Amino acid sequence: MPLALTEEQSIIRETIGKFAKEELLALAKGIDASEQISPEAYSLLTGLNLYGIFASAESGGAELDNLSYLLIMEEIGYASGTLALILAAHNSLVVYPLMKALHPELKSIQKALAQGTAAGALAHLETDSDLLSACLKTQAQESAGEYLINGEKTMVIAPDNTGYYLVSAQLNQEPALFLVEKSAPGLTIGSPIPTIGARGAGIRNLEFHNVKTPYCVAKGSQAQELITDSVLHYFLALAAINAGIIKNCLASATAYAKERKQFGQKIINFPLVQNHIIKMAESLQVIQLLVHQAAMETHPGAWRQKVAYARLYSGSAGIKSAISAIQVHGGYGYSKEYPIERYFRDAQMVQSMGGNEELAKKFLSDVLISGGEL
Amino acid sequence: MRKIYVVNWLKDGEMPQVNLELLEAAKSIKTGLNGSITLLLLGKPTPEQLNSLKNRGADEIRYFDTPELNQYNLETYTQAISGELEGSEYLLILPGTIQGKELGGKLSARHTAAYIPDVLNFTSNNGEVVFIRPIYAGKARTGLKGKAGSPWIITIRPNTFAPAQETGTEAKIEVKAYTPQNSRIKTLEVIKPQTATLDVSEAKVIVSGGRGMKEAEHFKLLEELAQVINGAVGASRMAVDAGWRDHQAQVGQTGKIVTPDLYLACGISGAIQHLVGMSSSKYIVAINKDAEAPIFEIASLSVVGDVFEILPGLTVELKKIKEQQLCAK
Amino acid sequence: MKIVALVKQVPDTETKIKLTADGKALETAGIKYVVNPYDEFAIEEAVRIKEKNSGSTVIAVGMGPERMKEALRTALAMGADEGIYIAEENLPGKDGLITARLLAEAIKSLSPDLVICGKQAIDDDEGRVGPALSHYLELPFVANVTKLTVESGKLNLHRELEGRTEVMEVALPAVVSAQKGLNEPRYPSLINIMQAKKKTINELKPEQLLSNDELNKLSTLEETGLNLPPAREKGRKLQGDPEQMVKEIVTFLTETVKIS
Repeated sequence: MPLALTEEQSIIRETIGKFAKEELLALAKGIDASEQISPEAYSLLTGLNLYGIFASAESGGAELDNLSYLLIMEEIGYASGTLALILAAHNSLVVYPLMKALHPELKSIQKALAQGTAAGALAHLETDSDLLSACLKTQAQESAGEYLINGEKTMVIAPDNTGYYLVSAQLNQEPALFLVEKSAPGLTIGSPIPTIGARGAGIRNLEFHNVKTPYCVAKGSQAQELITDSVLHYFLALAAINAGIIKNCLASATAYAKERKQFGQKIINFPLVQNHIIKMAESLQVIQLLVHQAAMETHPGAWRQKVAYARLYSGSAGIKSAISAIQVHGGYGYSKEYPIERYFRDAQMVQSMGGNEELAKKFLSDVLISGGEL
Repeated sequence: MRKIYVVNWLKDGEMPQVNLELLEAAKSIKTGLNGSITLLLLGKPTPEQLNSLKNRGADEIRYFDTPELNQYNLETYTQAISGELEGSEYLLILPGTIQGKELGGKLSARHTAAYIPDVLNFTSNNGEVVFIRPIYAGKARTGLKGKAGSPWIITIRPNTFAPAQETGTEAKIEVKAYTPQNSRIKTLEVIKPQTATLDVSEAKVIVSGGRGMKEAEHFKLLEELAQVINGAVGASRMAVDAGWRDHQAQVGQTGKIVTPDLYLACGISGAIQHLVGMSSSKYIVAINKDAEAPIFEIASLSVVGDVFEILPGLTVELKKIKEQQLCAK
Repeated sequence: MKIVALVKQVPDTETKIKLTADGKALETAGIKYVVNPYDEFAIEEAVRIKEKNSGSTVIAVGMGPERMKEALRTALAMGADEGIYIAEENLPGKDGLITARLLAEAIKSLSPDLVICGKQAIDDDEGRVGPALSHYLELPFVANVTKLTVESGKLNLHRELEGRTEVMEVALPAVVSAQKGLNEPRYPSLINIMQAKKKTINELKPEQLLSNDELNKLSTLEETGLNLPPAREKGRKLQGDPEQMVKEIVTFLTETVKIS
């Protein structure tokens, strides 16, 4: 860990790290193979308050700081890309915006979310838009204190225990955010789309046919800001998860290289193998520093930029590290009997489920063009 | 001049071999310390048991003709032993078993003694003795000296020293009495495994299995071989976690540290945590299909082969030899 | 019931043991420190007893360098109510008797019903503080406990010996050491960890507990040096026909190992 931690951050990292290694690592292979997360696995997560990491104590959350949240994401990412992704999606994309929206009627729902009684999923992406844009085809109409939603959402991270959807739609030609319960009539929740990585996370398409809800969480520029900040909050979590995956790649590759002999000596003695390992270690250090730096930033504008750097760097670093780990493992790296190939598929989640590289670059370019400083 | 006390007691009325090993340790250290050896035997030995101890190097044997001492009890043993210790410059040697170590810890506080548990070895120079003991599960060793003028208490694990052989001289024998006092600790029962199995921490020969044994059933192969060569069956952590063997059999960092004369590792790759548990074995024979298994780095004899092809044949051959030996007798 | 759980901080079990350049001490750079694994069983058991006996408290007590407080804080997160930290400074040596006596002085005034420690610390592997402490507290001691139930005025317990289990009864107050298998230590939840921040850790210095003279009397050991275990002699490797290999193994066992 590049930078110093407070005593409780250290305890949090130690506890969750141990928990992830001893309880979650063993489940990861099964979750990936079967694309199912068992009720017992969900209980393990809710039992330690992982559904309300930074939610208020009043709503049953642990009220942890940003850095603690990201340390947790890294430790869980080490063990299981899927479980880390669903926690990041729930905490960053739903709990976080609801906390900031301060909608008084939603307190009991916030409680259920923080305690993990039900998970939350953000339904924002559409086939014609990207995560940071306001171009929305899904429409909402107000009528007698309720809202009617029509449209389609894609690539929603909605595992089996999802009970609430945070939906973005155009209301009076402005972006708005609504909270929809899963049992709302007219809501069609698609089957999970089989993905190459983060399998079991329940990535689905949704259809809204006159879905009614009384809850409008935010409207206009407030909604736009909430969406942007939540997505960035999530990107930072993805960077942290990737750091965890790289850490596992590094540990596995190093252990393997120290034992495996070829041409009469341990392969860790070969400079080309050392190069792979050093590059993984370097990536890990850099991502941890970028994530840590972003976590400690209090100025909103500066924070957004720092998240963009972390997102940009981690997207490619994770994949490269995973490939390095596969290379070090030789033929075994290609085999599904070894976990390395899963790290590679899971590492890709940053680029595939985290907007895309161009998004982060566009964000930073916009700052430059508008006369801002990077 | 430092007097040496060796403490022995019986286990289920039997004389455990560690008792003779402690005497051997005492004999080797005797010249360096220029002291006499007193064997304190807690409990009453049978005449045969007393005979077997008489000429093994002790100058004096004191045993207690008190039935209450026939069964180990921390409080009564602490009292009885303390009553026999003279002066403050002595070396007290205890067995390095769980009971021996709790006794050692207690006595060390009572007598403000230098305490060195699990002594592997010692060096002696002009009355200055340095005891060597393992730390970090045996990954390192440290040398310790006891302060002159203070009592020294050490414990020695089974199978560290060879059992003392017979010498020409007989020990002076004294029968002591002990007034029993109420103990706050009561042993209600000792639960032993159904089939009399030798524990790995006391065995001279261990036949151990790991992941390569593939399932619990196959440990029968190890049990058969162990029986022929009078060994205990051990297991790696993986085999214990998988439920194939009881954790009393686990050898390794989170299991037991063992020092048998022979450790036969079957289907064990040799993860560092396992190695620290058995790397002090006198001889190690490892059987593993993987020619690069780390265990081969510390094995006296490495066998690159399938345990299922080697073990049955090995057991048959050794059985034949055993029968020949019996016939010859 | 008032229960004391002893806590020690040790290098993580994965630590590669290396010596400093002069070979005199353990290289501590980069070592990750954790709660001694056996102490986790002790803390967990203490908390479970507290949960079964309303009105009970658990006090986590430990001695060590500054970083040790994090281990005590972890005990608080697991459910201990308060902590006592004894600074490891200005001590005449590392003799376990000094540790035991200082802990005893700190614990005496608490008049605990039960003191639980781990069976041994995985750095020194001594297991001596528990029984020594019991002497200073004038309490009975049982090592290696794998099962424990509290009844009025006494403990019913199982403790593990070599290959067998001793079933015992011990009068309270008492001191016991915990063995693996006693329980499964809990992971503190994030909320537990945050709540632990508000719990108190009292800090004591050795001179508040014992005079220099008394401490000096307890120092009876001198460490002469550390080394790594000697490398084993390189052995032979066999490959090929199983039958042939069996014959060679038998020869090795009968002629070199000389088994009976």
